Amino acid sequence: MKSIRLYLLLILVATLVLVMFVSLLKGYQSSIETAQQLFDERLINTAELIASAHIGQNTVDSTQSPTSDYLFFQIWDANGQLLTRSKTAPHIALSQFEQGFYDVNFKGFRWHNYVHPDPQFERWIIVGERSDVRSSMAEDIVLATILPAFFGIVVAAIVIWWLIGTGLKPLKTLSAQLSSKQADDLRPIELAPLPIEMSQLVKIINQLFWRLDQSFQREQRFAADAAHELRTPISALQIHLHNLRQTYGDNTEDWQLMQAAVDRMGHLVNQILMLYRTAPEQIAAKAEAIDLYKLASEVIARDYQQFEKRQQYIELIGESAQVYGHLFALETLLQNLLNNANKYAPSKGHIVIHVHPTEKGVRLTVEDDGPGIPPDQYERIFDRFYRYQNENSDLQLPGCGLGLAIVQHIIEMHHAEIKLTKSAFETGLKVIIDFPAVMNK
Amino acid sequence: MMKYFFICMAILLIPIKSYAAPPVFEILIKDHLFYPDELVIPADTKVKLLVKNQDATPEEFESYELNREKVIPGNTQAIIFVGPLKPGTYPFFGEFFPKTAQGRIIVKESGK
Amino acid sequence: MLLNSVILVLREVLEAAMVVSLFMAFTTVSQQARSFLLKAILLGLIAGGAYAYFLPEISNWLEGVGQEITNTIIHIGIYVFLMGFLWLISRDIVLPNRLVKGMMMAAIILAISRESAEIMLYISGFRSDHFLLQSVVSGSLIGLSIGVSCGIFLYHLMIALKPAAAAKFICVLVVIVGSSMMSQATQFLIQADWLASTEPVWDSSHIISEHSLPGQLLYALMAYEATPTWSQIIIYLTSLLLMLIVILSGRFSRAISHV
Repeated sequence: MKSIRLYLLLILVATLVLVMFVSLLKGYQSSIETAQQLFDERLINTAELIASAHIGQNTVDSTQSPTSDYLFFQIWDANGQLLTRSKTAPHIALSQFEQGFYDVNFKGFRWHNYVHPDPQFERWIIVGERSDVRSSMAEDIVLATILPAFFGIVVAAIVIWWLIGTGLKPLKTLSAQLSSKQADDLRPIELAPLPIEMSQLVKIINQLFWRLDQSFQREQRFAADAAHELRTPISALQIHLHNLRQTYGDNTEDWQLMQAAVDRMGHLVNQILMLYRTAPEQIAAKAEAIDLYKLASEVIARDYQQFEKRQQYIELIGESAQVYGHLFALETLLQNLLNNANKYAPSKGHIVIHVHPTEKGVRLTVEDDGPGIPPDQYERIFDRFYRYQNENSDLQLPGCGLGLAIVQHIIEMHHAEIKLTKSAFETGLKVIIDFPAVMNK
Repeated sequence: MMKYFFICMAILLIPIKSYAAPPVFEILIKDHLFYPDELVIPADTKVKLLVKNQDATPEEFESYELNREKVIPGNTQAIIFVGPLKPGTYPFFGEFFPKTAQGRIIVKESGK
Repeated sequence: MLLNSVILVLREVLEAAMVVSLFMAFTTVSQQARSFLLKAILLGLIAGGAYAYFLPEISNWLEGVGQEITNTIIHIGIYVFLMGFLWLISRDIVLPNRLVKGMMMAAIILAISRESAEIMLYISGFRSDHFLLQSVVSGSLIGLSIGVSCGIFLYHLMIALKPAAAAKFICVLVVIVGSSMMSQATQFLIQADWLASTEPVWDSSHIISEHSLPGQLLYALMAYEATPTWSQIIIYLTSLLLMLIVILSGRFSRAISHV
């Protein structure tokens, strides 16, 4: 992924380097030129100085002349006779006798010479300076001003890196807030102080959250209200149906089908109410330590009739295990799982329930030897009103498709995890639920 | 397509040798200096420069005016063909030590 | 010494940085991993080291013009690989095709080997002189960072474009860089006396001097010469035309295959 920070750093430092380089190069060139001009003027002054110091035509003892390693002079008369020279200077003329500057090689160095005419005594004064010394002197002067700028770039890069980080902080905070949000937490994001560039983004996100929250609430209210309102007419329907069957006898199949449909409708409404009434706040408020093993045995005992009816063999294995949760919700969870197992396991089939403590908490598994579910359907069966239909069986089972959706809902409220796999039997489904050791309050 | 390209290249690459051997001029590199630093060559003649680098360090003979560029490793010599050129002054320099390694080729009409 | 190092290294780095950033942008635009480019850069540096190490011997080949001929081959090689790259992508053969990768890597290795060899030779010349070495190395680093900055700019300029426009822009730059390689190759052949040297056709040094910064930039981009010869101009234009024909013929054959 591309990092905004890295991109900004690279492009800013590159800009800085290029702009600085071009301006420094210009500055360097003109500074060096100025320095060279200065050195040239000094050379002219030296020549004039020598001209005024060596008066007369006599040949001076050259060894006593002021000398240095990077400066020399020669004085020639008009006839091309060497009058005097500095110790370092050669005996031959290093340049032609014409006023001006010349570059020559001598003694293993490059020399910058000035030929100075001295009309008063009709002689030529040649003064030379080592080019490399001149340029390194000039460069030293210029570099002393330029080099700090280059070190400055390194410092600037570090500062820019830090500043970009600070500038991007609201973005980081926003993404941290968004990623730490719970799936059902639709409260607006609060960021202060909010940069102008991001206010629109945060506004849109918050609007989205608000709309989502509203529609969730509407859906919940509608479903709960509808279910609640439906309960009374359904109860009435059930009573009237009962009375009608009493009056007219109930031997026909139509009566039985009608009874089943009305029962299913009642069940559906109860499930919907269950789903929307177990809100997370309720769980947190009414949470208590519950022995899951004991609860499972109670639920099995209560619903034992339905297993007996299908001659199913049901087994509870395990030991006492404490779970922190909502009693009614956990009861519903077990009931739903056992109902499903009862529904899908064949007559004379097997159902096994395990409850035992693990390192992380408590594990509950429910296995049956029914037809099972193909793995690609595992995700979907938690969807509301989704019912897995086995194409090979014409088994039409009663149910509304809310059971596992409610299971999922309860599991989320308890911060537990659910997994589906194949059961230990030849066919069938195994539901594994892991409860955390200590539930977050 | 590519075939024609290579044929064209081959034709262009055929060395057009002038059978009269070009005159040879020697340039020495010592202490990052060119000796001589002023070389006079005849106009309208191709010449062969024999550049001997007597320093231990490499040097690059370079001239924008002559369009020449050649690296000469330490203690080796190199051949650079120059010309034919019109009369004039053509500066050259050592790119690795440009402050000291400077020189000029002065092209003069051969009659003069 | 410092500024010389900056200029020298910058001159060499600019050319290689251009090829590398072109290809970097190309991989980014085609949304591919670019680790193979880094590999090519490393291989190029190794090849450059070898070239620098054997340069004294190479120079003696072919009656003393081995260096020019090696440089010619490197430049023609870069041109051929760039041409191959254009040929492939104009026929819709794109990354991660191995042939395309190979062409890109080969061009980068060659480009970097020649430029880095000169830098390595230059710096190695100062290894005994610690005082100068310091300023040469720091100058080289500055030159390197400026060259790389230019590359970064070019890269971001290209990826800021829309992908289709970026691909076109990259092709145009590949054509310009490729032709400049042939122009330089011609220059080396003239220097080696394998091609006859003729009088310059024009002299534009008073407009843009090769010594100036724009001149140097133009040299890196398209082998600008203030005093080019006919053979250089002809080969430059021919190479340019050939690359354009390769692109257009690819477009044409693609159009036919789509009918």
